[in-house]
Amino acid sequence: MKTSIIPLLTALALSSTAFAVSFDTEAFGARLNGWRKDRTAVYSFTDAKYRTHTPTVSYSPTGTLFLSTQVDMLSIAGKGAICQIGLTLSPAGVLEGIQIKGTIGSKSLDTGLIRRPDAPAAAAPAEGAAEGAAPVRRLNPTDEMITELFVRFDSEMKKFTEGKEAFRSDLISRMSGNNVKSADLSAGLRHNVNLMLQNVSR
Amino acid sequence: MNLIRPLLFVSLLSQAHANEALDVLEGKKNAADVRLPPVESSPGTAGSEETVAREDLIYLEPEWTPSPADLIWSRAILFEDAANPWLQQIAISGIFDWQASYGSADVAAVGDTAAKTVELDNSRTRRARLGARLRTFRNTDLEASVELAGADNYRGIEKLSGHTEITPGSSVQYGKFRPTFSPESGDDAYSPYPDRSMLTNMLAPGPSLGVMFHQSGKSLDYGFGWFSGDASTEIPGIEGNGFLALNLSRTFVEPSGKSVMRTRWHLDYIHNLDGADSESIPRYNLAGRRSANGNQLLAQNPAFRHLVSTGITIDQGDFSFAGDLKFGKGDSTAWGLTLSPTYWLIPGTVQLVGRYEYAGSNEAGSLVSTLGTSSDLAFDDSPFFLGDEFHSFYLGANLHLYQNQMTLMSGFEQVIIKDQQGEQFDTDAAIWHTGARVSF
Repeated sequence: MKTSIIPLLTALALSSTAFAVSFDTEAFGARLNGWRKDRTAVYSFTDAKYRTHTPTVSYSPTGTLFLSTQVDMLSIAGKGAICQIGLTLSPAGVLEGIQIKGTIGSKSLDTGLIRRPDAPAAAAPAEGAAEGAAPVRRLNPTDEMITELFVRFDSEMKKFTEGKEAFRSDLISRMSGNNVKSADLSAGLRHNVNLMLQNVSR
Repeated sequence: MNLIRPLLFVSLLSQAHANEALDVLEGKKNAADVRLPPVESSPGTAGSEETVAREDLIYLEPEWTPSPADLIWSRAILFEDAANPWLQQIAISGIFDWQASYGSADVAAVGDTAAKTVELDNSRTRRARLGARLRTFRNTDLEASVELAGADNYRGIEKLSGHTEITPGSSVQYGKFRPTFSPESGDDAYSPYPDRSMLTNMLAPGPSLGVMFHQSGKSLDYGFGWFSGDASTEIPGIEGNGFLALNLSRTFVEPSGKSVMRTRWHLDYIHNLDGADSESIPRYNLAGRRSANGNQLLAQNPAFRHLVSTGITIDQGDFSFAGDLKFGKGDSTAWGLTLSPTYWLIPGTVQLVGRYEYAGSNEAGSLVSTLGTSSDLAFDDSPFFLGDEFHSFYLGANLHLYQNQMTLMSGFEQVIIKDQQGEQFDTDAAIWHTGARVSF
C-alpha cells in the first residue's frame, strides 16, 4: 500500500511544481529604471513621470498567483493619479483576470474585473516565453483582455478628460520645447501591465 | 389653395412612422425593415454612451505642462514622507510682488480752489512674504508667514494658523488668519490684477485671531466662525466682542458645448459686534486725515457693522469671469460691483485681463481709496482720495514665465471718482501699471 502511495504523491508534487507560476520582481524593476531604497521605481514614459511600487505577490491555496502593484502618475503642478493594477494568473501562468482601480484628485475610477474569455479549443499557453510558441490565432485571449481593460479604462477616464481643457504651457516650458499636450496615463499603465506579464514565468 | 398640397405632404410625412407601426402590428411589414428616426440625445443624458452622466462631471483645473523650472520650484518642499505618522511635509513659501505705476490724477477746480494734478508715478515692493508650512498627524496643516514689505505698522506676522481636518469634509481653522470675504480676499492666491478691487480693500477685514469651522460637501460648502477683531503686527489679542463670519458657496459643474463649465456661487457675511471700535473692520484709520482731492477732512473713520459679498465665479476653458456684489453698512454705507473677465490669449503664457469696478454711497466722503501702485489703504494711505461714486476700468495682459508663480503684468487703468455729495472735487486718473510677481 505504502509503495503505491509514494509514486502518486511524487506525481502530485511534480505536477504542482510544474505549474508553479512566479514573478521576477527584480527584473520588472530593472525595466523601470531600477528599484530605489524605498522599493519604488521612478521613470519617465511618454513625457510623464511615473512611480511604480514593488508589486505584491500572493498565492491562493490552489497555486493561483495574484499580482498587484501601485502606479502613480506624478504631477508637480496638477493632481497626480494613483492607480492599482491587479493581475490573476493561473498556476500554468495564464492570465485569468485583470483590473485597474484608481483615483485622480477626489474622483475614483474602476475598470471592473476583466475575466478571460471562453477557452479556445487549444490549451492556452503560459505568458512570457511560451507566448511566441502559441498557435496562430486571430486574437490572443490575453491581448483581448488587455484591449478590453484599456477600452474600459479610457471610458472611465472620460469623466476626467471631459472636464480637462488643453494643457497650459508657460513661457519657460514653451522655450524649452517641452510643450507636451497630454500625458497619456493609459499608455503608462499599459506599459506596466506588459512588463508585468513579461516577467511572469512558470 | 396652393398651400394645401405642401401642408398635406408634410402631414403625411409626419404620420409615416405611425403608419409603419400599424403595418407591423397588422403583420403587413417586418419590424426589422422599419427605419426608425435617430434618437435625440443631449450631453449628459443616458442615451449617449460617449458622454458622461451629468452627476459624474467634475471640473479639473487645467494642468501645466512639465517645465525645466519645476525642479527649482519643487525645492520649496524640504521634506516629504507620506508614511511618517508624525510629520508628512515641511515646505517654505513666499511671495514677492513688485508694482510700478505711471500716471496722474486730475482733481477738478471747485470755486476758488484751482484744478490740481496729483502725480502717481511710483514703484513699490507691494508684498514680500516668507513663510513655512508643515503637515503633521496626516490631518493638520500649520502655516506661518511674515510680511517684510511696507511700513512698520504693516510689517509683521501675516499668518500663523493651523487647519485640522476633523472628519472627511469637515475641518477647523484657528490662529491668526484672514477671514474670507469675497473671492478676492484670499491674499495668497494668484490674482491677475495689480491689486484687489477698491471696495474689497476698503471693506474686507484684515488678519485677526479667530476660529472657523468649515464643511465641504459635494457641491455645497459652508463655514462659520468668530474673530477677535483685534489687529496687530504680531499676535492679536482679545479686546472686544469681535466679529462673526459666515461663508456659503455652491458649485455647479455642467457641460457646455464640448467642454465643462464650473460656476461657483458665494455668499459671505460678516457681523461686526464692535462697530467703530474694531481694529480689523476697516483695516485702516483715516480719522483726522485730509484727502488729496480738495484737502477735505475725514473726521471719522468709516465703520461698518454688516458686510455682505455675493456673486459668481465662472471657469470654462480659457475663459473665466467673476462678478461680485459687495455691501457695507454701519455708520456709513457703501456698495459696489466688480466684474472681472479673463481670457488666455496664448494658453498658459499670455492672459488678457479686464476689470470694471463700481462703488457708490449716498453719503459724502464715504468711499476712500488710494491710487497708483496700491489701492490698499492699510498698505499705504497717502495720498488718498474720497468721494461717493467710484468707477475703474482696467485692461491688461500678463506674461506667465512659470505657471502662475512667476508673472510679469502690465495694464492700463482709468479711474473716475465723483464727489457730488461732498465738496464736488471730482477726480479722473489715468494710470499705467506694470509689475512682477514671484511665489513659491
